[in-house]
Amino acid sequence: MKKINYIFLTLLSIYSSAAYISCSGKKSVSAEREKEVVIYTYDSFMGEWGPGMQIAKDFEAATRFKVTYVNCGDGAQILSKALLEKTSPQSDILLGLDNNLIDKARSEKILTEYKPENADSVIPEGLHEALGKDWLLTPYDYSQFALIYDTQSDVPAPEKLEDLTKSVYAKKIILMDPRTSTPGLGFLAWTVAVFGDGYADYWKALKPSILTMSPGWSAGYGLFTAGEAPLVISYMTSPAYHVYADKTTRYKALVFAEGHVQQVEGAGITKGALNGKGARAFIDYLISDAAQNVIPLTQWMVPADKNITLPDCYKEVVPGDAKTLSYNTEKVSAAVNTVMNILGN
Amino acid sequence: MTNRIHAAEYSAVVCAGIVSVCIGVAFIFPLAASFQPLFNGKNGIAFNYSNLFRITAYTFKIALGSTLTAAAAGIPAAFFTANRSFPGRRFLLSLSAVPLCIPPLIIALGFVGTFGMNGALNTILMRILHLKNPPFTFLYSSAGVIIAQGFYNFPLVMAVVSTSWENLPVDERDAARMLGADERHIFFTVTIHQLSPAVAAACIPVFLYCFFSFMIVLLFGTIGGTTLEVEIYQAARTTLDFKTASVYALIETSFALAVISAYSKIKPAYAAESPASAHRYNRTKIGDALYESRSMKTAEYVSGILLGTVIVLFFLSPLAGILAGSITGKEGAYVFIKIIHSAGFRNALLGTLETAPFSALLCIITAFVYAWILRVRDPLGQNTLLQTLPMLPMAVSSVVMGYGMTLLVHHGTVPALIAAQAALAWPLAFRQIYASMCAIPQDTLDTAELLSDTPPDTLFRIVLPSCRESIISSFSFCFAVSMGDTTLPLVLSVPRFDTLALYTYRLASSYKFAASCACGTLLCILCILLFSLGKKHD
Repeated sequence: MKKINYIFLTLLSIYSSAAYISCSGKKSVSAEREKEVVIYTYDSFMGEWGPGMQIAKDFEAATRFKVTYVNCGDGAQILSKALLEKTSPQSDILLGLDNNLIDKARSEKILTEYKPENADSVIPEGLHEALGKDWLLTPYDYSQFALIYDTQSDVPAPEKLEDLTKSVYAKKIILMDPRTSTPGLGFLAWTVAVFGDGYADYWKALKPSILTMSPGWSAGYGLFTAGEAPLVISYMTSPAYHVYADKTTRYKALVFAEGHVQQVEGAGITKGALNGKGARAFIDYLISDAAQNVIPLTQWMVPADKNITLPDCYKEVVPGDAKTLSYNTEKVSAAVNTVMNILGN
Repeated sequence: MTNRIHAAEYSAVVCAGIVSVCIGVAFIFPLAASFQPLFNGKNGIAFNYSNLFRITAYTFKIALGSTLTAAAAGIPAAFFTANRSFPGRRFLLSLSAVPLCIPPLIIALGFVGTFGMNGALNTILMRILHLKNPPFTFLYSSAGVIIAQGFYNFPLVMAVVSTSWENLPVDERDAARMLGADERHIFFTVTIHQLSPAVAAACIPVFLYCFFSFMIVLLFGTIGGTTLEVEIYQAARTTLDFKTASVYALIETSFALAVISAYSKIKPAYAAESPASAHRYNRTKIGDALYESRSMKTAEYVSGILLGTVIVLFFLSPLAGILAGSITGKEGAYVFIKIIHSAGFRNALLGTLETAPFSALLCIITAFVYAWILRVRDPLGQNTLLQTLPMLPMAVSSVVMGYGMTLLVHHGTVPALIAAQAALAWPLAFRQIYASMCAIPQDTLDTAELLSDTPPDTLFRIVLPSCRESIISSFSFCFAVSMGDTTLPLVLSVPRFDTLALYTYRLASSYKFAASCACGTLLCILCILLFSLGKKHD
């Protein structure tokens, strides 16, 4: 009987806590927030090698605002956190949402439209379009996805996606899981954009070529640089890092004539932001020359400002003439489970 | 003066009680919050039950295989560390917290460096045998996952079983010897039964760690394979379908609880046989034990060498692979100096030192309080529920806890992080502290209570000193857990705060793999140093 009482009390406390939490909604507003711009972002942007620190320092010097970065992990986690705080937003800016997440952010109404004054003169039409044309997000950098090839390997470089299904590439490709990784989802979107409804057949044929599907970019790219496979999905800009830091042109981004899909990253003002003025000032600053010039050698992406001259390391290994493909994000979301079922069986 | 001491003792007891209650709350609220979306919304969830069964079965298969591997290496290793003296014994034992503190990404890179397609083993064999393709490709298969996870976790089994083996009562074995039983017979009829609770207690956490595993399963496992943890992650972080995430969290937690309940059902049958009587005997050299025949001595030598080889190959080599990964970069060994002098590393180290000691302290306070309550309320260890409750936090993965925290805490702070880490890790301390508390004879406690001025006197003069070693050891364990945690610091998103484990990941996500391995190596060294200090009195 005692045991039953204990079980009952434990279950009751868990149940009542759950019910209490589901019913309560806290609201807290701080007056000191007026001088602080709280930015939800991801790990590599705010790290000591990322552009975040330099941009914040220069922004603080140029304005009277103080920047507070909050590390949420990755773009999806930024959105997840903002969504959970929808009724009581704590952030002013969400920085790091991309063209795959914008539809969800739009439908959940967590962002406020804002068009920076100089936007028309610096942001190319294609980037603006990729983020929905409504200025919920202001693009600050982008890159196409590409297969990075190790030129020291003994397999030939593929020329199109279809080539990857050939037996010569058996266990030679490292991909990332589309459920947990942005480049993983980018590759899947690429196959949907190229093969249309035939993407499922393509993935069936591709399966023997995949060595592993890592949960994140770091693990997959780490395996690639460790020499585990000669091909990895990454960004077209990735080889620039190796030229700059490792002084090698060993790794090349492969350009396929059929085109590539791209990731466009943007920053947007949170709906109900406690410091809207500071948030607008930061977005303006983010696409200024000063901030955009920091991006190439810290973020290893192409700055959104079309007037920025890229460093030499980019010119050597990053092809600038690849065709960009567009795709339907809803179709890609639906394709995730289809592809995982194909691979899992 | 005496009154002041008594007042201080009472205050300490009250404070410890309050801390324990707070840690309990810090566990229950996020757990409840992770199930909260089940109460919201009207939309139902379309479940594919055969899919769910397939995912659960795969998760279970991998976790079971890994646990059996960890036990197969850990139990024989525990025999040697508990009963024999040999060079490197202390070092081997000091590795027991390594699995808790090194991020899985770094462990994975270590295994790749040894057994990967371009790893040391394949490279050597391809050169010697003039092969075109790598001969060993097992790493990228279910076998690879089981080997990596099994050997990565074997020190945990070794540490727990070794401590228990050292403290086994010798009377029954001596009696069996006097009656003419040989060592093999004694092992299978006496020792193995005495050790069973410790083996089960060691294997359950390993099973649960593997059950909740994410990185290694996806990286090395079947392509397109999935686990319950991945499904929760996908629903909570990618598709933002919180209701589905809650359902998966409930299924995963219920399954883990079922495993724990099964353990607690089996446990009492053996527990009564192991009232840890703290008899210790001197360790002999390998093959030099008394009573052993010549063939037994030879068998001991051979198995010692075989086990040593397997441990070197599957555990120490991947660890060395991490070190090799850090110094084979462009900067060589200079990468360590560069890392140590970087502002980011210093901030991360400060952040770690700001949280890990306090988290470990809260863990041992909570564990001590609960262990004492259990010792007093259930001296015979027969109340299954009271015995099982401290294992409840082990049934909750950090993704589920993190998910609950995200729903609950909107403003991450360092104290919230410390409380959340302690709420998940205190059972690790509890197991060790409770075991040493059980070793105090009831007569001693009764006498102490009779002769003490106040009830807390017994606690401070008898119980606390008796548990000193296990408190130090469990402090190190919990310190390591907090040091290696990456989920909760990310989920709580504490502004201007960093830890070494997060820093290690950040290095890897910025193309700096050699630096990331170097940071992983430093984490590992810190952990080993801490453990060596913890085992100083051993």
